[in-house]
Amino acid sequence: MAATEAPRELIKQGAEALVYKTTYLLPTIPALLKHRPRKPYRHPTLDLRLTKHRCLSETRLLTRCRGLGIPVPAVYFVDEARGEIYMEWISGRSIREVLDAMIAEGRKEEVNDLMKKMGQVVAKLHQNDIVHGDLTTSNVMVRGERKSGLLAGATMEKVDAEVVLIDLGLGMMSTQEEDKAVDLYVLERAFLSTHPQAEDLFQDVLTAYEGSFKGAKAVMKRLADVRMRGRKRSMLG
Amino acid sequence: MAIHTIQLQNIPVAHEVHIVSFKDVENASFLREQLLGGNAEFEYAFVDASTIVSTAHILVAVHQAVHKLLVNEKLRTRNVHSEIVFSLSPNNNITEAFRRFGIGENTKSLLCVKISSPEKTISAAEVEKHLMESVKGTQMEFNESTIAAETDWANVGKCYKMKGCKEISKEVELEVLGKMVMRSVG
Ligand SMILES: Nc1ncnc2c1ncn2[C@@H]1O[C@H](COP(=O)(O)OP(=O)(O)O)[C@@H](O)[C@H]1O
Ligand SMILES: [Mg+2]
Repeated sequence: MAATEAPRELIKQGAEALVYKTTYLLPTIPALLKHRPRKPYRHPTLDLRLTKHRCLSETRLLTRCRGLGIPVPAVYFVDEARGEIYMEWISGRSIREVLDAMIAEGRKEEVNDLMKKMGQVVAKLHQNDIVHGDLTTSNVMVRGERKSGLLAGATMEKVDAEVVLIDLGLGMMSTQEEDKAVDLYVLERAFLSTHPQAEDLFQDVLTAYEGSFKGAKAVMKRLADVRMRGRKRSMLG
Repeated sequence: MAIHTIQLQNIPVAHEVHIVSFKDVENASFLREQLLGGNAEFEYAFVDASTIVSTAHILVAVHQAVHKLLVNEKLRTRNVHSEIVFSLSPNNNITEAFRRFGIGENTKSLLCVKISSPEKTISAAEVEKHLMESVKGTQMEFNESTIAAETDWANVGKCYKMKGCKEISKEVELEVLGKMVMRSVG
């Protein structure tokens, strides 16, 4: 049967998901579609169960974050049996690209400001016992404008570089300092590998993080252990 | 003609959504009785428009209900039209959903939604004619400002457990949609 198929533009083919830019509801509402396709090598029943579970888990975390005022894309629609999540399209770039540009252009103050925001957002996540699970610099976006409303007064408003977390596919609820420390460690590694001059930068992230909630100190302590283990592991090769 | 016909994304073209909006409705209890009595001529989603915050809000509910129908997921209610009303709810209590979002004795502003499907094709003109004959009220355009004018924020606050919202904004709209999504994923 002919359907008004919304045009899809593949933007990423990951190991687990196909990610498209598309529209939801009406051609005027941009959306991101994250599709976890069937894995033919898995047992069909298990496959369906895993797909559903991952879709629902990502959706619940995204929705929980929004409820807490943590900037993440809003979920528009979920078809967990097909492995599809439609969510708010974030018009911006990854923090990695944005940092590249800022550093290249010597916009030091903006860089500092961005690092501070980054630390605060992660702190808010952890304060609420949410662990991102894959906190790399491609899973953090920065947007400079925001569409106000889905349809209601759909105008663009300028916002000051806002940090938005995406890709909570590996996220979970956890009260463990270890899990939170690993988030920070992953982020640190990502920063250092993409921005080798970033040691100071990441320090700014940590400073903001540490000042943002009560449990932060304990997580920072753990981070030292996690780093140590990471170093040992890389020495062992 | 003030009837609004929409083709939703990713829904087969044979499914059209007809929406007619009324204010100052005087015969809500008659209309409600037709629904309760299962009168086949009155297979509509009759939504109390005071609970609706934007055009997207009702369209999201329509999309959820029609999608369920198409993928053969079991509907929780009698038909796709009642499922639209249920889809507006932030929880799984069907009785409460109808009481809050469906037409009530005292409903003054009303959104009527009719789905035309391959099995039951119905044109915009037919829908409008029937509703004009049946609903005693003032027909309105279906757009952002007519919807906003009828929103009762105290009621929305109660229905979605949200405090202090007085007007539509991106955050409010997405918060409401978020609650509907959460119900659908349990
Ligand atoms: N809501 C969104 N709005 C705009 N772009 C997005 C959004 N979510 C993801 N992207 C883009 O798609 C890419 C892949 O999405 P992601 O959720 O990270 O999937 P994966 O698990 O494959 O990494 C991201 O790196 C980002 O560039
Ligand atoms: Mg990713």
